Amino acid sequence: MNNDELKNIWQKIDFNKSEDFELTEDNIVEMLEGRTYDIFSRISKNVKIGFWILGAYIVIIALSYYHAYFTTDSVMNDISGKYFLALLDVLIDGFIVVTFIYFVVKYNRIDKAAISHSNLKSTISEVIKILSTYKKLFYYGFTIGALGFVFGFIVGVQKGIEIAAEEYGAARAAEFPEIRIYVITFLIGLALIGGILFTVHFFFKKLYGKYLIQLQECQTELIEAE
Amino acid sequence: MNKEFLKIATENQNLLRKVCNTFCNDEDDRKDLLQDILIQLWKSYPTFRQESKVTTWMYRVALNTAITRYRKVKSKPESRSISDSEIEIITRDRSFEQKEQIDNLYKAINKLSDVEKSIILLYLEDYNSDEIAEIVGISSNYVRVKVNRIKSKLKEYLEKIYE
Repeated sequence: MNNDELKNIWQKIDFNKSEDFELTEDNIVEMLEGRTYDIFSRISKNVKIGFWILGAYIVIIALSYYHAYFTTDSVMNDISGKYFLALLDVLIDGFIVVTFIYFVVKYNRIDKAAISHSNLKSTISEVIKILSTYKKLFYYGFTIGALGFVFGFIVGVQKGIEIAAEEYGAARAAEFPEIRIYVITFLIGLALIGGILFTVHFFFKKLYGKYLIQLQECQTELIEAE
Repeated sequence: MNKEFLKIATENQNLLRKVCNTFCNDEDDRKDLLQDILIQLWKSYPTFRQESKVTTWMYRVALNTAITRYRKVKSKPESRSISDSEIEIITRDRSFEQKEQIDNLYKAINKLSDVEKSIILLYLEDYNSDEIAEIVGISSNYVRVKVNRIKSKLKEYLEKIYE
């Protein structure tokens, strides 16, 4: 089979031949009202869900700040350096919120319609860039959040040990050398961070991992050898 | 709804069908892709400034949509992207030999990568290297290199089928 034969065969394919395939104006109008499966619709949906989660998160942290730092019965009142901890909390939570808002602003600035009718190479590059930014900020947010959570856990363990020492007396407290407690707490903290990051990585890879790899393979194919 | 857009879409539905059949392996997937392409065409229609041919613009949007569409990877790819009934219908007035040729061509095209499918689709639709280069975003020289490589691959696949 030679090259002309390939074209000859292809030219014989004509979907207009059959009414079964006819696309009418009514069909088109109906389709335009349907949902789309493009990556931008998917990310837009995730952004909307993200805003709801962010709203709930802000309410929860506002209530916990109020209880921790502005009520008299909070255990934080007994912790020295509580204002330093408060600052750390605000920085961590602030980072998570800013990271999300930064992505939303950047994402909304993209002219998605223009991307769809650019050439194939540009389109693939833009989609990879957006998804890579999304991935980076997603991981930053969860990493910092995980560090904040573990830091809070370590402070909580320390305070718990102090309270136990007061309750059971100094002699009993001496059975638990401080250094051992710090090491155990640190290792548990490390395991928790590892667990959280592994879970985040697993879910992101499940959602977008293969898709990103496919796009990167297409991009590589379009790179011309020097 | 913009009458001009609807007219363009219905007049060029053969183009849309060919893209969907090249990139999808089952009927539901083809319907979804067709819908996605129409939606993307509709969204980018206001910015279409008639700087290129309508069909060039449609191919650009259709191929971008087909390749960047989020989809789950199928574990077992079908042997070709078009069903028996569709082959029957589109080759209704053709001889048995021609039907077999079309069937085998689709089987061979299905083995290509997405980028290769895009390039060969445009080549088979009689676009020259410069036009293909503009749509795909590579140089005309590289288009010629890619087309030759893809044609060799297709020949190899078709020879295996005919053995």
